[in-house]
Amino acid sequence: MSTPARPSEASAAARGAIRAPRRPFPLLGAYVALVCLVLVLPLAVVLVISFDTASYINFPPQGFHLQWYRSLPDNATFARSFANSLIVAGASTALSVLAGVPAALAIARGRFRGRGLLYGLCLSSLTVPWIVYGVALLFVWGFLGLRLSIWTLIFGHTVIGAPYVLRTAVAVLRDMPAAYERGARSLGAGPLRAFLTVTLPLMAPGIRAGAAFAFIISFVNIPVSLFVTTAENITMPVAVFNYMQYNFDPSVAAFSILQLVVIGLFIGFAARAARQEA
Amino acid sequence: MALTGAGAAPAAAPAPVAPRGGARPRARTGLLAAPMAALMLAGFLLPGLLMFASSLGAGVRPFSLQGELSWAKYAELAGSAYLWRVLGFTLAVSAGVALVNAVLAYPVAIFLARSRSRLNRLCFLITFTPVAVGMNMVTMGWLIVLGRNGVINSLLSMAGLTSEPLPLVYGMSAVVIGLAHISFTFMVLPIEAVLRTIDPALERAARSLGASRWRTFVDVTLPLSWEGVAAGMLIVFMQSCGAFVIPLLLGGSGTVMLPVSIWETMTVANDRAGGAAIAVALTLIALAILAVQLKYFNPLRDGDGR
Repeated sequence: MSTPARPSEASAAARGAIRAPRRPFPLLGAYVALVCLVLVLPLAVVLVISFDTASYINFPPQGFHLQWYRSLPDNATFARSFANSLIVAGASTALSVLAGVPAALAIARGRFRGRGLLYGLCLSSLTVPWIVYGVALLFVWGFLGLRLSIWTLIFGHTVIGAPYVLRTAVAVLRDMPAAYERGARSLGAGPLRAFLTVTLPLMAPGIRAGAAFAFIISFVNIPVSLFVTTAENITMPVAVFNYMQYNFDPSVAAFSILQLVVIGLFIGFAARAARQEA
Repeated sequence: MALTGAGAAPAAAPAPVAPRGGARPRARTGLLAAPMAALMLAGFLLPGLLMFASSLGAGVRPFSLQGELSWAKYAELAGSAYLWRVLGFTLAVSAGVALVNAVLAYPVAIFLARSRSRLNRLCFLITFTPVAVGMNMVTMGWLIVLGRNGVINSLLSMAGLTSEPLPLVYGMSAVVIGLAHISFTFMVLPIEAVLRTIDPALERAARSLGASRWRTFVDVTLPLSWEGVAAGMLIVFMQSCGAFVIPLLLGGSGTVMLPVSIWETMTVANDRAGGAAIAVALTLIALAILAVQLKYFNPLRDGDGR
């Protein structure tokens, strides 16, 4: 900008620059395509290997069959961990919504001292690495004198999932004029009725997006579950993690693809919610 | 605080201050947060305190703590050359990943913020995949790509370029690749968000004054987007410091990072106090980064309405 360009260049640039250029930089598209390719490459190779007929990880694959998928239910650990993961993710998401949505109302709509501090407390579990929280969870369970069970995981995953629900719910409430609720109240609706018929439906897309996020966080989480896992409460990602440390064959790839399908369903759910919101 | 408008949205035009909720004091709304506050106190702060107590040598028993408290564990760890190396490696690798990712992600953020291509949405979806698919998937994928019989080594040997498989995995490069991949989303999003806020008129002005595209970028766009780059680098740095699965499975004995050493101490050495002490150290690193974030890029800035 500081060096004056020659007149011919300047006028040419001026002509070309009246509107923001459609392509800001040449080759940018090619670079972005390359990055996207690298980002999906590992997922694509896992998919390819999950159909391989070889009994060890090898590239290129030797053939195509669905045997690894068919035999997934025969692996007792895989079957149990899949069920556990659905239970833990489902229950912790439900609890996250039950705790997070009322808290969002308090934080976005309330007028009281220490609201910022309260918001900070409710988001506090986002501040430390998951593995640190995994260690801490082991100690609290000992302190409460409880045996490790699936409830340990539901509890821990709720603590890390609820802040995500809270944040999206607060964001939606902040964009939504409080006048709607006041209108309902002034027309005679009680607070609960105003919430159920006006506020909640308007918040629904944000809650759904937050819930889908909490579900995915739980469904793929390893570090929080790591120290409190037993043979009974083992979750899907922990089972895959354990398996990968000792043997690595296409069955674990097939199992991961199954996990990906479930995640894909929930992302579709969140994306639809986001579109409704827009 | 009493003067803030009833509408909570800070950006909204000052609405006429309507009569407040009437008989019901708004303060009572705060009780709605009680379950979540209780969850965080019992589920997060209490576990944190117990972890700290155990790192000081307390034995955690049901509803009681036993034993003398002392800093002995910390003194022992501070005297361990191995742990200092792990700490240095963790910080260095995380800084490297943040730097590499900033360079790699910036053009993608420009594309997402500026391109009106129909592929924009697809690209957006793909930049989200690393977060959504989980560590296992990314780790497994790179093991297959980089492994001895993996994609790269097979291609190289088929092309006749190598006779022996290259040792690509179980080392630092594989760890950096994995960490960069898993945190890519968190680098792109802050940069993209800042780029969107830059008034295109500024760039048009630079162009119409004769600056080339490149010069406009270097003198106008890039300086205006530093905040996003810095915010993204902090998040990526913090995430990499706390990463566990990738350094464990893609790395080897030479690439132990703090989270891996927590795991080794807890499970292999069966030393809970030691694991807790390293976890406390990692927490301090995370809180230091958080303090920088809150000071310069406060995510709650337009949040608490005060």
